[in-house]
Amino acid sequence: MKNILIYLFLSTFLFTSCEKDFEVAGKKPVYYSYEDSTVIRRLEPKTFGDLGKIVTSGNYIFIGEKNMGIHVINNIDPTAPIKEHFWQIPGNREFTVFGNMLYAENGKNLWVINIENFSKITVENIIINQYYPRFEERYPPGYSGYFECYYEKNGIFKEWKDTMLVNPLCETL
Amino acid sequence: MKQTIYVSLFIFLTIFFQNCSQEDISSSTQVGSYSTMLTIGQKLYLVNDSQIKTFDVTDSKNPVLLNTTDLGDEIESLYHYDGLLLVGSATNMYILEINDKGIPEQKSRTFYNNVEFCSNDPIVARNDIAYVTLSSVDIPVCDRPVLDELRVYDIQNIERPEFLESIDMTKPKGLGFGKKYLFVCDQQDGLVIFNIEDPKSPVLSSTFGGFSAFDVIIRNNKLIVACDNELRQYDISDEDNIQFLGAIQI
Repeated sequence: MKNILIYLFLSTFLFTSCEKDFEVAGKKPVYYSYEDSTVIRRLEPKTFGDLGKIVTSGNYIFIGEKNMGIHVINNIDPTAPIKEHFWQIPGNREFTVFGNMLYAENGKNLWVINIENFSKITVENIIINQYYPRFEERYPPGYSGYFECYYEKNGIFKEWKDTMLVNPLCETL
Repeated sequence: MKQTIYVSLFIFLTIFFQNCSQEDISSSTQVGSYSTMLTIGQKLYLVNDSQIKTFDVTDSKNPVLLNTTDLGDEIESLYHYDGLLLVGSATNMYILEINDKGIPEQKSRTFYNNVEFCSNDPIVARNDIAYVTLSSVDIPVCDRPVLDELRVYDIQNIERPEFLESIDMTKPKGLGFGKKYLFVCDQQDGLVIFNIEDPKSPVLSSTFGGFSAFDVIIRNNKLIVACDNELRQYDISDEDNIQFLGAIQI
């Protein structure tokens, strides 16, 4: 995975020195802001992907979908649990439930989310800068070509988008 | 006079029931062994990559940061045991004692003597014995032989944990206690069950295979296993006759 990323420092240097920009079609990362509370909301249940941390409270099981949010499962009948909701929390990995509150991080900030009504969760509060954004090497899957490098400091990864790039620093081979 | 008694009784009962319900709220939530965030009473504890933080959550909508303590790098898990917080990092087990103000104070740091960055290690503890899993991480830097094992420490003296033994495993992950068994998730072997009637020396009892287990929560005689892409449940009312209840896949 490591040798796929090629940083074209040399070519950047060359292009800047000739004062002519290198323009090329490629991809760039689209980010969620670490402070955007509007993206936190209840969605319809969805398929399991890359599962993470697990919490139980009352008759419910909460299981994290890495970087995406939390699957909410009604476990009143353990022989037939039901996926009821997906709580979208971009960047989330760590969380716990305390009464009617969900404490959930997004890689940088800690959200306080009111879950009294599972179908309509609302952000109560944000406690900023409790975490250090996680370094992650990201590159467009199944793609070879230039792209704008992903930096976790710029925000939470959302998706890759086709675009024109000027002097891109990253390329997959 | 009579009125005063009724008023005091009313106040007493109000406080009493309020306390009860608060207790219920906090104790009804249970987290897996890989958790890095948990509440005890009216405090929220969390670890980030290198620190442990304490919040007062008396007003649950407005957590107030009370304390931040630096520990070390690559922290991955947080476990509460009898007034202690056990913190697992890639290379160390930290034992902290919660003081009378609710702030954790570091009492010891036990080095695993392993390769940095190449493992993760949740911890659980009971009866003064801590059980730690160390498992290798699949990244190119970790191409050297690394540890995949269950470790047992005597933590009666929290300032000087004593290493008791290690048991080789394939790729151990989260773990949790039944009554006489310790349930250990294994990414390759599934659910691996150790008899811990002698807490200091776990004995392999049985294995439920065929899936890749990550973490486990045990409550009300039910065992919930979080796998890579499914959730499995078992009835462990009779630990010697464990019943598979079902799974949610996809």
